[in-house]
Amino acid sequence: MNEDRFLLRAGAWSGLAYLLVFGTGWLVLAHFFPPIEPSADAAAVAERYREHHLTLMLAAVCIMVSTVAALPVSALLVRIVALIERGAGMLTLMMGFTLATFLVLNFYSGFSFATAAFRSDRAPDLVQYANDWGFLQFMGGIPMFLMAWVLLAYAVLVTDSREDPVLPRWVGYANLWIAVLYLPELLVFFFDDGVFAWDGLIGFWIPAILFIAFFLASPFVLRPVVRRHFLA
Amino acid sequence: MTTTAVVRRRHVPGEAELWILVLGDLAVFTVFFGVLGWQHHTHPASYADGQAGLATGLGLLNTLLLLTGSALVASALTRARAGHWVAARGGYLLAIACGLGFVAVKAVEYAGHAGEPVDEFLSYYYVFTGIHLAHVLAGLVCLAVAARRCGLAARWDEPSERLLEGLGVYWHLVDLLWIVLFVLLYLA
Repeated sequence: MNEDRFLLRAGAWSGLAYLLVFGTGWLVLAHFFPPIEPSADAAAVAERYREHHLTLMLAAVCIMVSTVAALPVSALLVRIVALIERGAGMLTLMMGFTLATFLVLNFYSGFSFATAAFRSDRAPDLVQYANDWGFLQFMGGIPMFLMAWVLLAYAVLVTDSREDPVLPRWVGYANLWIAVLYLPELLVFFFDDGVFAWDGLIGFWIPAILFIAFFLASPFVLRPVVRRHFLA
Repeated sequence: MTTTAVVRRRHVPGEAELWILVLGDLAVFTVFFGVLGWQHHTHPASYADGQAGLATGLGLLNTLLLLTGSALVASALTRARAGHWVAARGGYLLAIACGLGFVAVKAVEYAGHAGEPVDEFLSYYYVFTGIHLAHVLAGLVCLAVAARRCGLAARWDEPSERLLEGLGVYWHLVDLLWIVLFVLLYLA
């Protein structure tokens, strides 16, 4: 195959780009760190969207656009799994599907915040409803992307050769650990207050920090693989 | 002989990298335990009330089931090291039976609480024992892999000591986490 060196390098680095664009929206513009409290009443939520209408809309656009940056790194992860699997088998296809749904989820979280900001002067209940969509989707949407980490762990720990591994084995175990920590995020549907809620320690802070750490670390793990297996 | 002695002394059970997951998981549960401790500290009365509603006998039974399972896993590993694959497989299967017993007891316990209004204590109880139960199920998969690999040892490929150690370490982790959870939820 004639490898596109530029796109492969983009794949190695774009996790960082994704984090930057997404973070600009979520953190810098929207100040969703911590998120809007799930227990906040409709009037308070609507007030926040009215007061910060433009910045919240810009934040929503950043989150939607970050999907573009996540595309190359997603493709590279699928390629790596295919390399480990020596062809496009079950693992590769499952990885592709779960990453595709993750991209959709990522876009629609931003889209929901945009919907909340679009007519922020309408009935507060409706603004709160759209805001709920955004947070519940992004935090509670783990069935759509949890498998990305589990499958990568499976590829590294079970499928990859031990003698000459494509990815180091610690990557596999670290991914399994991340998957374990994401699992309690499903609890955001059951709590609007406390540690499991979407602004709580276990519902938000731990997964958020891991999410950032994963994409920050991704170039350092992916670059050597690209150099050794795709550009050699 | 001397080399063996040196290797033995520096022996880490399972793959070294496995301990990222084990210690990482322990760290997460330490946070969970901290949350429970905080809850106990800030709402002592409602915590005690909630505790009184738990079936301590069933919790104790589950503790014994997991401890027995861990002992069986440890002895199965010893058998496997000696090449006694049939006995090793038997040990893993018995440990699986203990694990399934744990799941069944937990189901009885949950059914007993069904219909009760879920207060703060009970929601913590459900969440933490639920997350632990997910660990038990994953541990059962590990034990099933160990049993199967021991069963195939004669016909196919002997499982490596490292693999069996790693699978066992995970089961002991599940056991250890439960013991702390049992003390914090039912006894403390």
